[in-house]
Amino acid sequence: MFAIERIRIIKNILIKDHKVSVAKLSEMLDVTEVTIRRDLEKLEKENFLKRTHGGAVLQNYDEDTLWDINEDTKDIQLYQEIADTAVYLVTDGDAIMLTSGYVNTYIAKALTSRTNLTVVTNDLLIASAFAHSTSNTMILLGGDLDESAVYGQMTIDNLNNFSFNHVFIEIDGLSETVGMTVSSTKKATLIQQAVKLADSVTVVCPSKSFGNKSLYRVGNLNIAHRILTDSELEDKYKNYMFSHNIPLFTSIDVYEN
Amino acid sequence: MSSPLLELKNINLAVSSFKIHDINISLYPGEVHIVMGENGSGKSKLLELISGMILPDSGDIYFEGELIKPNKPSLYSSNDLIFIQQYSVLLEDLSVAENLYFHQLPYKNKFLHTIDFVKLNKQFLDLINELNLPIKANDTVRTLGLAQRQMIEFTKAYISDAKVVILDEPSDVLTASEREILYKIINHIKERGAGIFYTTHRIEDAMTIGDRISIIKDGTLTGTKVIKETTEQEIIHLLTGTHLKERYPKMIIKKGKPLLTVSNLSYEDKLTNINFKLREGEILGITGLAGSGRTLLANCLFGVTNYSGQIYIYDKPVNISSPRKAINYGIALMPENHIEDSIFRELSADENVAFPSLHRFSRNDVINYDYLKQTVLDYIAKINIPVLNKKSILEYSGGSLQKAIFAKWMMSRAKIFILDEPTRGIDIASKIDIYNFISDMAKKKAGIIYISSDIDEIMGICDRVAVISANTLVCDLPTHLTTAEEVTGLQVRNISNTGYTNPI
Repeated sequence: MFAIERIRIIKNILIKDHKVSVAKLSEMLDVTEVTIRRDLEKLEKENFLKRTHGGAVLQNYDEDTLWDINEDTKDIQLYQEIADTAVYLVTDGDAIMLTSGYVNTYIAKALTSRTNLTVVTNDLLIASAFAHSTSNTMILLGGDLDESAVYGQMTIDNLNNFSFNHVFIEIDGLSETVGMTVSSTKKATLIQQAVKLADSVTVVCPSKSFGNKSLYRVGNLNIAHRILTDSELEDKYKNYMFSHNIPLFTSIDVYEN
Repeated sequence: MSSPLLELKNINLAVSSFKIHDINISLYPGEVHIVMGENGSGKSKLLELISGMILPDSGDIYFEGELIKPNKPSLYSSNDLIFIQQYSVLLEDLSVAENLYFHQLPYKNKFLHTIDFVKLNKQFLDLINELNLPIKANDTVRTLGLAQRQMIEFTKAYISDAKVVILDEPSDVLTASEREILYKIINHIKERGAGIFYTTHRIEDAMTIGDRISIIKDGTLTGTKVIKETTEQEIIHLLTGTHLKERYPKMIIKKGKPLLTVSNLSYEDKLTNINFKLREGEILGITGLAGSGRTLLANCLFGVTNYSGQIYIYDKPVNISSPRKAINYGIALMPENHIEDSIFRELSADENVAFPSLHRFSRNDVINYDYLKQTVLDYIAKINIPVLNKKSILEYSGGSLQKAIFAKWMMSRAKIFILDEPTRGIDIASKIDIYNFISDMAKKKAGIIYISSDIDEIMGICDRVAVISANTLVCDLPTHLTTAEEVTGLQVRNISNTGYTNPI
């Protein structure tokens, strides 16, 4: 029991500060340095951290991450929370569209735990996150490649062959005044078309993008059947969504069982 | 129609997070005006406004055509208005007759104020014969039951000269035959030309004795109807209003093993033969009128009240004889009254949150405060409430306090959560957080019993809904197979009218 508590605390400190020292932990948790070293060793085996002289630093604990992480570790943790929630918004057998984006890549990875999904995307990273899943089907759209996703008329024509139970649209900004926005016109066009083809629309947006405005409008908030964000969302947006009858999922991960 | 006795025009009132919005309502002589609304809809506030217990922020009240001005002798200082509240305010050690005629005692000697008991009792005997009350003249109030006390209160209204009579849920505790007496008293009051405001949850009351009915929802009147020109269906429709079940975050969660099975649970004559099952990952909504036994059921399941019947956890029979046992079985109760029943005022937030989990932080009965503090701080950061530097947990707002209470039980790793009105009276942002906590708990295989008066909320977040009425569960249905109107109908109608039986 005690060791579990200790390890939880060490993990939390690492996530917050990215590094810990053995001496500090030993003092704080009131156990010998030997015990702390043993805990750190255990966590290193789990690939959670990397031991250093006198302490440890946080490992990029998502080892099969597909791109260089410039993102803050904290953000990654929040994206992970969002992805864990998304799993509970779909039903096995659903046909799903995931539009390009960081958070949707995490969602794709989490969705591999389901079965019989058909997932369509315009994003190469999402496709490769899903490629190894034998219990689900992945369809990658074609088109003009820009960075790691495809867009353009060819992509739209491709997309029009499908109808979805569910679309997860990832956007770059969400505000009360201008609605949902993204950073490029081709992305906006793609999302608008995807929304038309789906029964149910989930808007994916990290809490830090609330209140932001990008240049290109996707549409008003009322196209969203629900909004999926992380647990750091400010209260004023919660009020706003509730008064506009949009269910808001804050992906909080707090209950330990 | 004659001119109104009492008229409220454009009344507004804001009390912390609750608002009475632009209410217009009137009362005519000889009229019974029913006021219906769900718990927390603003009924009681409206009655307080009518009776002058609180003053509106804006708007006018007219009595017999004259504007009532605050701080002037008025309707409220005269005998023209009588407000019979839900809980009787009788003098316990005096006789019934003395209580009734307290302000109009017959004297033998006007100067010495010696009471003429013979005359008093005669007056009283005439009265109870007239009304056919099941009460004796020299019974002291202390010996009477709740229903009899209510009778005396109604009789008070009858013998008073009040032109405006307010009855707040008078039929709540009465049996059918007692209700007949109440109706008779009401007819007498009408005959002498007084107007009556009458709040109730029972639609039969409204249909039987009402002349007009007004429905209040979220502090606004959604409609006023003449009873003869309306139907039960229309009233239920007005009561439930437009439905907003779509605004609640609800996940699709596979149900696991049966976590809690309740079989033939009874308590005295207040709960009979309650049967239901709660599975892992399931949210069961329980609703019913106030006083229907919802809270009593919660108390039985938490070992506060000794029940009869059998409870199983993971199909193993258990005897929950105390809250301590309940906690050991992984049951958590969040009582309706957050402040009175859920926290220790003297302890800090940390200590309150850590309380049921102390064994996690102690070795050889010594608590390691560093662990405790660190863990509680993690929770407080996660649930997004301010860290308190002050000693007392009461520094928190209602919403933060309720979130802290959630943290307490989540940290204790309870498996079965009994939530009694968890979102009542708290701000919207905290409500959303709580809905998301509940989703998180359900997806990690906890089972949740969600007691609420807010039908939209129940329909929006629960997998099943059960209604308590006439001391038992009268239905247990998946929320997607029923409607808010049907559930409200089950609450306010007599169960004999419904075709539902318990499916388990």
